[in-house]
Amino acid sequence: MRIGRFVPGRAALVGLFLAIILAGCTRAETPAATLGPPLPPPTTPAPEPSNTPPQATATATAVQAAAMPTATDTPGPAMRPDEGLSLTVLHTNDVYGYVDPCG
Amino acid sequence: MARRVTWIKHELANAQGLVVVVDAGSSLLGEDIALMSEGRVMVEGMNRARYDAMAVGRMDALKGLEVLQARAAEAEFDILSANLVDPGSQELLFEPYTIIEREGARIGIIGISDADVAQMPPMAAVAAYVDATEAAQRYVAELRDQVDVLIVLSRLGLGENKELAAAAPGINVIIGGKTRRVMNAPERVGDTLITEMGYNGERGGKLTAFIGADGAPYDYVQEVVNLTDGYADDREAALMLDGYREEFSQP
Repeated sequence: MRIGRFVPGRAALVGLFLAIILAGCTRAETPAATLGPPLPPPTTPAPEPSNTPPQATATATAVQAAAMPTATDTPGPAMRPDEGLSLTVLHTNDVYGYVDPCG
Repeated sequence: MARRVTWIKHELANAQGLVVVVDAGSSLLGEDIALMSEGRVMVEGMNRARYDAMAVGRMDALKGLEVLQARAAEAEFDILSANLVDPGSQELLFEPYTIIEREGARIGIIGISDADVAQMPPMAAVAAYVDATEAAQRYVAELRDQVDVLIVLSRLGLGENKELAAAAPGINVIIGGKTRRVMNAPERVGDTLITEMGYNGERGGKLTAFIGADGAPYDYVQEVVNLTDGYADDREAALMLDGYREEFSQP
């Protein structure tokens, strides 16, 4: 009977522990894909509505808030003052005309 | 090539935000079919992969200036060099940069060649080399206020690319070549991220840089993509390659 009373408590603790671990894993697997949204067009007043708007993580929000310039900053004609951007560069070099097997 | 097309098509199909496809040069000529076709097979493959730009490197000039300019005319991407000029007129032989408008942002890409290009036998009489740092400083100054992000495709090698980043601040990303390093992470000099990715097309690089409104990178993700048989051959590219093999097969 002592064991019977004890098991639910232990199960709850184990469940809580697993929940913490799984939540941590989920965040770790998606470090970049959910960071900032792409830079919207500079001349467009509002971005197109989307069914799946990108979610900013707490980390990204904190970093962007820290980097937020003052109203007098004008880093570029298309740069929104309150946002940065993400740039993906797919790149190769020195292929030397190889086409096989990879090239 | 056919695997590379598969990889790039897949990345572009699943891309979020700003994505560009570039090559840092010395890629059009060298082996077999590429040499026999005077680089046509590479340009056609890169067109299929929807490259945006490449820099002029030594191997691209193996067949001389006329051939390379002909390939540049066929390319649906920009073949760039900001520091190769006509020895007489001092006019640039290629476009020094391009500006791509994408996702509402303006992306500047500058091409920087190394001195080896102008020393190649077919190029020596028709091309002169301009100091890379001077050229970079000039075009960075010209472009910086026109674009949201600035990329340099450089043939200088990793060490000189670091010096270039320090001498020409304002570059967000340098994609390098020549030293042919497989870099698992970019190096940072000031606010510039510098990377390169091996050789012979065995790998591709995917660098995602998160750049703050102040122009400084605050995060990055660098991926080394090994183009092994885990990537199927793109069907159209494979057929294209078969056509070149048939055209240049030995009797």
